[in-house]
Formats: sequence, C-alpha cells, structure tokens
Amino acid sequence: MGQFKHRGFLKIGLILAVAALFFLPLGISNPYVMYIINLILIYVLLSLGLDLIVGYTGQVSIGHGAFFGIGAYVAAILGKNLGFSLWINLPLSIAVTALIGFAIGFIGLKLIEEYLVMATLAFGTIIWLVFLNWTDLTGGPMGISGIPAPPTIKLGSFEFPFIQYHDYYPLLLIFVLLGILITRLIIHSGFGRACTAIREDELAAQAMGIPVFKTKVMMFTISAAFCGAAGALYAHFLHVVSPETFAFGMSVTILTMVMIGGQGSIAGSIIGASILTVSSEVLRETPELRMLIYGLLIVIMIMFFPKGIMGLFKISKKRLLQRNIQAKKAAVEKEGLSYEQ
Amino acid sequence: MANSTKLIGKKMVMFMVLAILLVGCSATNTSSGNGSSASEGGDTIKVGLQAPMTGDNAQYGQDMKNGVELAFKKINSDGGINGKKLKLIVGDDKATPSEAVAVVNKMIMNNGVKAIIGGYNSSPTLAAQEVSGPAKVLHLNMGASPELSKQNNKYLFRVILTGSVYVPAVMRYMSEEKKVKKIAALFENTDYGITMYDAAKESTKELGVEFITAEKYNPGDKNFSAQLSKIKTLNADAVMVVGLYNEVALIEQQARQAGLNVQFFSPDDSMYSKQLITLGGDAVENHIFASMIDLNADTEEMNEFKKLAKENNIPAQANTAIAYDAAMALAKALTEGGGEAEKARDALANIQYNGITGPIKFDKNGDRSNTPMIMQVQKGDFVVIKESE
Amino acid sequence: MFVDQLINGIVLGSIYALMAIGYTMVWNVLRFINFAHGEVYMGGAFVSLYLLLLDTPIWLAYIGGVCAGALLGYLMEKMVYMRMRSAPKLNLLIAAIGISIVLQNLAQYIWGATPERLTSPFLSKNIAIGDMMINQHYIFIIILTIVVMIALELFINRTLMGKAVQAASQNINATQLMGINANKIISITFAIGSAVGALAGILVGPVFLVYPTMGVFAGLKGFTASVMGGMGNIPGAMIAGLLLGIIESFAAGFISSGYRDAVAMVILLFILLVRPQGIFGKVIQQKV
Repeated sequence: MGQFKHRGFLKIGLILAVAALFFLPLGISNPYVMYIINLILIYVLLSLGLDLIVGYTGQVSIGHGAFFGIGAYVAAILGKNLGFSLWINLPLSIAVTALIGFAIGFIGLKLIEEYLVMATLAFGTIIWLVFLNWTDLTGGPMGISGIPAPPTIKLGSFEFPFIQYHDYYPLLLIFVLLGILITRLIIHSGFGRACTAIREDELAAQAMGIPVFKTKVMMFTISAAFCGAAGALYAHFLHVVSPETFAFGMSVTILTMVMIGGQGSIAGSIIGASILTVSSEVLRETPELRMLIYGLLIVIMIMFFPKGIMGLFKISKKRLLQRNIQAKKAAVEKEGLSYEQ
Repeated sequence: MANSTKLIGKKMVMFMVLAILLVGCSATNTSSGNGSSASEGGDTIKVGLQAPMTGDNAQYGQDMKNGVELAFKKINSDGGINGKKLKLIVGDDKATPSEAVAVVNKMIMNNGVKAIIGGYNSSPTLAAQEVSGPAKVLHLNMGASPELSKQNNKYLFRVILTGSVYVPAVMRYMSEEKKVKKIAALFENTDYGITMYDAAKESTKELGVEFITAEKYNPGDKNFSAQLSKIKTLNADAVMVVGLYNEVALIEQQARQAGLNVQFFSPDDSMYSKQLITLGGDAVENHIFASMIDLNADTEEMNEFKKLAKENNIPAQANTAIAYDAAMALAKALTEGGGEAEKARDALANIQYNGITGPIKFDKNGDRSNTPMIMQVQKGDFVVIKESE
Repeated sequence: MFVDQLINGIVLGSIYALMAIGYTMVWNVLRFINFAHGEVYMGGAFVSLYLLLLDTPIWLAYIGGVCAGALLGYLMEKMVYMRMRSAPKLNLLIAAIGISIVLQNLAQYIWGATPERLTSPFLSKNIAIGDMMINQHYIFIIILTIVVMIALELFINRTLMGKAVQAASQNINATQLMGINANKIISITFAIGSAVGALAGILVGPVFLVYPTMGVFAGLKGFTASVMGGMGNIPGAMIAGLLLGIIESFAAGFISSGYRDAVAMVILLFILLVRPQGIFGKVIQQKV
C-alpha cells in the first residue's frame, strides 16, 4: 500500500519535471547555451537509436553516423530544392533511412561480433563517400546550405515561429520525449525482450524459437530510423549540412555516448549525449587541445568505467541490496535465530 | 522485481531531468557573466577570426591569426578604437561549412563579437555568412569564389580580389604570352574550385583557348596519380590547378614523377606561401598565378609591415599581410562607426584606405576592384612577371 | 596509362601489405582490431621527420622512426590494452579509437597540422625502363617491402620467439600453461607489428607527405587487406595488401578517383559476406 502511494508521488513528480523541462528556455538568456541544449537533444535521439541495437540487442554498429547523414541529406535536398517543409521531410527522412537501414541490416546482420563491426564501418564509409562525391545531388565537399526553417505553427491565435534557438527547443524536446516513449514501449514489449534474449545468448534465443535474424534486422531498421529522424531535425535546425559531419568520427561519437552513458539504458543515453556534447563545446575554448582532451576522456572512461555511468548506479544498487540483506541477517541473528532453521 | 526496476527507472529519469535543469541553469549563470561583459562592451571590442586552425589548412589560419594579432597590437598600443581595446576571439572552422556555422554562432552569441575576419575557404564562408548577415555582424572574408559577390549580404566584404578578376587576368596571360591553346583543368571539388573553373571556361571563347578535360579532387586528397595519368594521355599545352598550396605542391611533384612536363598555372594567389616551395621543391618551379600582393614590393606600407613582422617574430607571409590589411581597415571602420553596427558598416562600405595590398575600397557587392599582377615561381622565390594594369 | 596505374598500384599495395601485418598480428594474439594502428604509421613518420630536422643522418632517422613506432605500439599495449584483458571486445575497440584520437591530436599539438615532406635520397631520380619512367623511391619501397616480408617469414618460422608467437595465436591460454609468458608474447607482437607499420609510414612520407591524419585511411586499407588475407594469416595479409593496392589503383584510374577509397570498402564487405575467412584463410568453426 505504502509502495503504491510512493509510486503515485513519483508519477506526479515525473510529469511535473517533464513539464518543467518545457519552461527551461525562460531561464536561459544566452542563445548559445540554448544552441548547445538543442544539440544535446539531437544527440540524445541518436544515442537512443543506437542503444536499441547496441545496448538492447547486443549488435555493435560503427556506421550509424551514416544514417544520421542520410536523414539530414534527405531533408536538406528536399527542403532546399523542392521547398518541402520539415513536416513532409521528417517522415520521408525516416522512411528512406529505415529502408536503407533495413537493406544494410539484411546484408550485414548475418555477420557476428567483430565482423559485424567491420561491415558497419564499411557501409558507413561508403555512404559517407557518396555524400562527398555525388556533387550534383549532395553538393560534394561544400554540402548544402540555406535549408529552410520549419514553418510557423499556428494554434488558434497563438503563433510559434522558428527564428531563434529558443523556438526550436520545444519541438526538439517533444521528439526526444517521443523517442524515449517509443524506446520504452519497444523494450518492454515481447519483441524487446526477444532482443534482450539475443543479446544475452544468441544460440539459446534461437533454441527458444526466437527468429534471431529477423528480430535483429527489425531492431536495426528501427535504430536507423531514429537516426534518420535526428538527421532531419538537425538539417532544419542548423540549416547547413556538409559531409565531414557524418564521417566515421560521428559514428564513433554516437557509440561513445552510448558506452559512456551505459549501454541498455535510456538514462545512460541522455547522460552520455549530454556529457560528450557539453565537453566538446566547452573545449572549443582551446581549439588545439580540444580533441586531445576529448580522446583522453574516452580512453579513461572506457578503462575505468567499462559499464558506463549508469553501470556505476547499477553496481551501487546491488551493493545496497546486499547490505540490506546483511543487515537483516544481523538483526535476525541478534534475536537468537539462525537462517538455517 | 519488475515493479522495483520500473521504480528505479523512474527515479533515474527524475534524476536526469534534475541534472539537465541543473546543467542548464549553471550554464546560464556562467555564460550570462560572459554575455553581459560582451553586450556592455566594457573597455574592449571583440572581433572574431573564423579560419582553419587545425587540419590540412591550418597554415592559412595561423598566417591570418598572426596578421590580425599584429594589427591589433599596433592599434591597441596606439590607443585602440575610441579608447577601447580590440580583443581577438579565434574560432576554428576546420575549413568545413558546418564547423564554420558552429563557431560563428558561438562567436556572435556567446562572445558578442562585433565583426568577423575570415574564413579563408569559400564554402565555409558562404555557409557562415548566413549566420553573420542576419545578426548584422561585419564579415571580412578571404574567399575567392565569385559566388560570394551574389549573396545580398550588406555586411559581407571581401578583402582579396574576386575570382572573376583573377581568372581572366591569368587566362589572358597564358593565351597571349605563353601561347597555350589546349588546357587541362584540375580543380578542388568545392565552391572555390568549381566557380573558378566556370569563370575560366567563360573566358575561353574570346581568347580562343579550350579546356580539353576537367578533373576534380576532394580537399585533403594526396594521391593524384589517376587524374594526372589521364591528363598525360591528352597532350595538353598547360594544366590549370585550382587549389591550395598543399595540393598544388603534391600535384606538380606527382606530375613530374609521372613524366608530365608541361606549364602549370593557377588563377589566384592561394599558393603564395613559402610552404609551396618547401613542399614542392623543384617541381613547382615556373608555376604561374595571378596575385594581388607582392611581398618583395618596395612600398612604404610593405616595408613598415615587414619591419613590424620582424619585430614581433612573425613570418611575413602573403596571407599575414592580407589579414593585417583587413584588420586595419576594420579598425578604421569601427572607429568611424563609434560602436554602432549600422554606422560601422556604412563606414566600411565607403572606406578609403591605403593598405599593403594597395588601396582598399569596396564596390556595392563588397568586392575590391584592384587589378592583379601575374607572378611566377623562379629559383625558389615569387617573382612578378607582369605588373598590374 | 595501364603500366602507370600498375606501378602505382604495386607501390600502394606494398604500403597496405606492411600495414596489414600489424592488424593481423594483433588479431592473432588478442582477437581484436587495433584501430590505433594507423597512428603508429603516422607516429613513425613524424619521429623520422623530427630527427631529420635535428640533422640526424637519413638512415638513422628512418631507423629511429621505426623504433619509435615499435615503442608506441608497446606502450599502447602496456598502458591501455593490458589493463583491459577481461573487458568486452567492444570496450577495447572504443579504447583503441580513443587512443587514435589522442595520438592524432597530440601529433598536431607537437608538430602542427601542416603536411610536411619527409626527405628521401631517391625521390628526385627517375629510372627509365624502356619508355617508362619509374621513380627510384618507388623501387626502394617495393624492395624494402619484399625484404621485410622475407625477414618476417623467417622470424615467425625459424626462431623460437616466432614459434612462441605462432603458439600464442593458436591458443593464448594454453601457451601460458606451457610456461610461455603470454604478456611478453603480446608485447613483442605489438612491437613488431607496430615497427612494420611505422616503416610503412616512413616510406610513404616522401610521396604523400606526413601529417597528423595520414594514418586514418592507410589504417582502413591495411585493415581491409588483413581481412582479405584472412584475419591472422600473415602471408595472406601481404599478398592481399598488394592485390588491394592494384585493384584500387585501376578503379581510381578507370572509374572515378573520388570513389578510390570506396573500392576498398566494397571489397571488405564482399569478403566479409562471401568469404569471411579471407581469400587464403581456412574455414574456422564458430565456437559454441
């Protein structure tokens, strides 16, 4: 009963906290900080997407930067050349990315472990080279600039135009919340549990009758679609896309976010994306040392916190439970009773 | 058990929401400190430098930084801008459009810069001016692409000459003096390379020359053997390379190794750097290009600049001089503008200033209208072979 | 044009072959892809360049670069990988990527980003064979690659240490039980693989210049070659490297130079999907 009450409070607290998030821009006057927060939101969407396949299904990809790029380029090309708005481009970006994700997953997911890593690297690099060399469509090394902002949203007499970075925040936040919701629905569904089973032991999962390959490909497609959505938002938010953004480094960045935050955890994705985005922006002050420190951060984190930051929480939770058991044991022993009886 | 994990999950979400709020708030605090000092101005005026500081093009960024710092030192020791000191904020655009947008965003929004000097490369500049234009921040760039004249951005000025001046000059020289007929083009696959090649192609009709092939490469490429062997089979009279010194040096070296011994030339002075000769050695000998500046010129301004550079232990490179000029012209405009963006812009648009690179004044597109000279690499130095008209 | 591209291909291929050796040797003992291997290639070239600036005789500078590469590989192993023996392979991979970011930027911090040319005593001379001109430095690269390959073959098959490395590649735990110090073997493997990688960087320096990110694509190609040859197969890696260089060169010449790097990636995918054991590899049974 008490627990029930407790849960009720938590739920209300959660709703309030999320509502409070929407009012965050009121407290921030500096548009640059708003810009970074918006970037974080885009990266959260990316790490959520990658975590679905890496963290929950145990299939490592270092090519997801390319999916991000496909989403961004689809939105950029449609937005710039055909004048389509975000609302048309976003579903199209997701569809195209999912389709390509499906094709790559279908070809690549027959491979396991390191071989899969290599294959995703190869796919990612090929797609990046297409961005770089298909000048007529993608603008080659110069990319595409002048991507239009999303159209003004009209709700009755209220108008929400997209001019400042403050204006983009609620939009991005809604998509991130939506992403979190979808992630939760997936991982708590039967399909999600099948994925977890594959992560833990592929052969056992197969023996239990889970269609391993099909499940993996489906999750890979969803994961790619997440990145495609992030890409479309990125293109309309930054108004410029150029190929080097989506090179191997981006795939590594997203994977590092997932690893540092902690695999298989929504909170981990959010923490990882926040830490890496903020540190990379703060380090802009020292351009010569920026990437050096960034690299050191990655090595140190991975050496000393192999399960990421959320892994720390899980360990301490385990310890807490153990301590509770021991305390109970001690109390019982004090009363002169032993467990054996 | 399932319940408790769910509970923990919710707690985590709460924790993160709080953490994000906390980060957001603390970030506002620290940055509002910066912000206020920037908007109030205090006793400094901040100017941004958008240039490649890392990566393949870092040498250009370093040269520009040297030049701007030299100018600022001189201006500040002479009393600054109406009593305010100039402060340089360096932003690394890595010669890429999206990084350029990111750093220009930061310089304008977080540091509150009043003006930006740079970018060096055309594509990043084209992307970045879309941010600086609406923010009414003066943008003095060093991109050569003719595309930069068509941007309809009142705040965008170009301190070097436009490609549509450089290209015809060098093409005329090649056709009239060197009597070339068939030219092979090898250019960087960027706004710069493509628009320069287009301009060159436009000038071919009246000169009676033709381009027999147009090969492209991506910035940062190091292996040009495929393009060069293609060009070799076509028996061109000359090869036009549109690129930066790294690539020009490598291309000519590899051309020699492949046995392609023809005249090489480039439309503009982007390879006017000692680095070209250190990297290219004998292979770049006789390379011809159009230039707006001659470091060996014996003018009052040049001698003063060289003296100043020597005192401060800075190598006197072409880009250092051009950036120095840009900073001096900007300082003049800021002084006349007296702290108002609109006024400073008008002052810059109507500026009359005699710089190292000749008289600085801008037309309605923000371009300079000087005529270039033709230069050639001779015995490891840059020599003027045709004065500007 | 055909012969031009063939020679370019063989030269590039020699470099890829040398790079592939490092990947394959590390894979043999640790079963992971050392993504920081490309940075050893860069590090060796930079140290040589630096020694030359200090007026060191050219051969000494080359040897110094190779030694520095070996040291770099050794330190990488001792400082990071050794402490992560029990970690999942994915963590090792990320650590390797982290190291490669650190080394690239460290090099840039120390020596700057501007590409520089490593001196070579042969670069300015061409040899005429028929009506073909071949640069002497290219011939130097090819000869040295052949020498290194033979030396490595002899080391692996004829020396006790080489046999220990071979044993370790079959089963590192069993090797340990047989009284061979596994950590020592791993260190030696890293040192030799890295020395060969550094040599590749030094050989390339005079042609394609030395700069902090030079190892990125060289690393990818070397790694592709090692997969082509069958992971862990040293002679396979050498031949595959040569093959890759030649294919790539022809593709660049006859298709499009922009997609030069895509060729290697397509080959990599093809091999992974159709013949994951490599062109020359034996079929490995998946352990259950």
